[in-house]
Amino acid sequence: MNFNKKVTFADTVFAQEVDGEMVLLDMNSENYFGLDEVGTAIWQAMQETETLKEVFEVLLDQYDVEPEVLEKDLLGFVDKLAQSGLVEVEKN
Amino acid sequence: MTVYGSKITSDIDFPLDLTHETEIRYEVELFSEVPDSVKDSITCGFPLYWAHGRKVYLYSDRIFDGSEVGQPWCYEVKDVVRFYWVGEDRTIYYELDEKGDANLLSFWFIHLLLPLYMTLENMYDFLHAGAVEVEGKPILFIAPSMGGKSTMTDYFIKQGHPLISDDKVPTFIAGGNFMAVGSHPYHRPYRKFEELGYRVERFTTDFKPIHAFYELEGVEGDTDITIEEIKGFAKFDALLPNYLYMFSYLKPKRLKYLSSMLNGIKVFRVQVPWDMQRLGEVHDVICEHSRGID
Repeated sequence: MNFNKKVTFADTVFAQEVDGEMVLLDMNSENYFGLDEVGTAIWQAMQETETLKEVFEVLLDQYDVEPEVLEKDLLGFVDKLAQSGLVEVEKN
Repeated sequence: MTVYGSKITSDIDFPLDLTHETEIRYEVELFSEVPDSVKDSITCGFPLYWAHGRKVYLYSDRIFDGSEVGQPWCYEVKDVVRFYWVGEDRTIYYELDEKGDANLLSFWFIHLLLPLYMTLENMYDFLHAGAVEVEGKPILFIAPSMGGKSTMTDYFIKQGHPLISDDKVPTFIAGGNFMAVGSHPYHRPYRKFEELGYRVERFTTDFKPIHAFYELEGVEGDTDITIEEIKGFAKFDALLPNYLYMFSYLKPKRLKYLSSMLNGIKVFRVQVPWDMQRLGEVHDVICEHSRGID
């Protein structure tokens, strides 16, 4: 996965916030997913931007974190979302 | 009679004392003469669940993926009774079968049919909880099956707290508040099929905003009684299994309803020692805690 890819939300995913944490419902599987504070921040940044690079930049501004650590965590998180069918990552 | 904040007019006398008076939100009629047009329009169905030793089926004229205006429905309790209605119509018809009588009709109508009907008709969202008032404010007890909800509700009733519901709590939004509605003044703190339980004298009279949820967690009898607030997804996860009739088509709407409810109402986990002698202590701790919530 590279940072210039676009990430889009699946149409079947509904999201709501509870106490600042995102709750996701995937109507394909009818499963619920909970995101912690950081996952919620990533999810929100993904809604406001187009590419993973932009998400990365927003989060780098927001958190006191080493760029290498953020990159690894962000890619890992998006990979998990994609595996769960919650987002689609643009193909090459 | 009034149940679930609804005035029920019926052509059969229920062998129950439902003379209490509460606020009324809806009016529903229950009649025995099922129109042929409704019966004839039913074409398909599926087993809904097994409850109280009976098979229950739900029928309509289309694949079940929602509830629409004019949609015919039939709820059948095998060998006991069949209820019929049409979407958005406030008349429910019944037809007793070979084992049916007024006792069984009243149980199935009040305990199981009405909550389902009111869900499909978008009248209320039901939570599986015990609910009582503490100083006029509704608190709801949630727990897994056999988790002590009924025992706790029973203890609160015996201390003079008005009952709101012993099992299914109707809720709706009014003025930005999530309101709790009284179900019926019967409580069954024991396991027995097809009984509503004993009658409770002190029953809620008004729709009131839900004050708090208490999730009961059974612990060893000599453990301290503690209360901690649950937040975020854990809070959602605690309430979700207690949202009744989680049909697929309702899930997106309910995600919004439950999230909105939980952003305004606090949820607390109470450690309840498995010792009946300590119920008084638990009662006092919960009452004191409830008084201190903002």
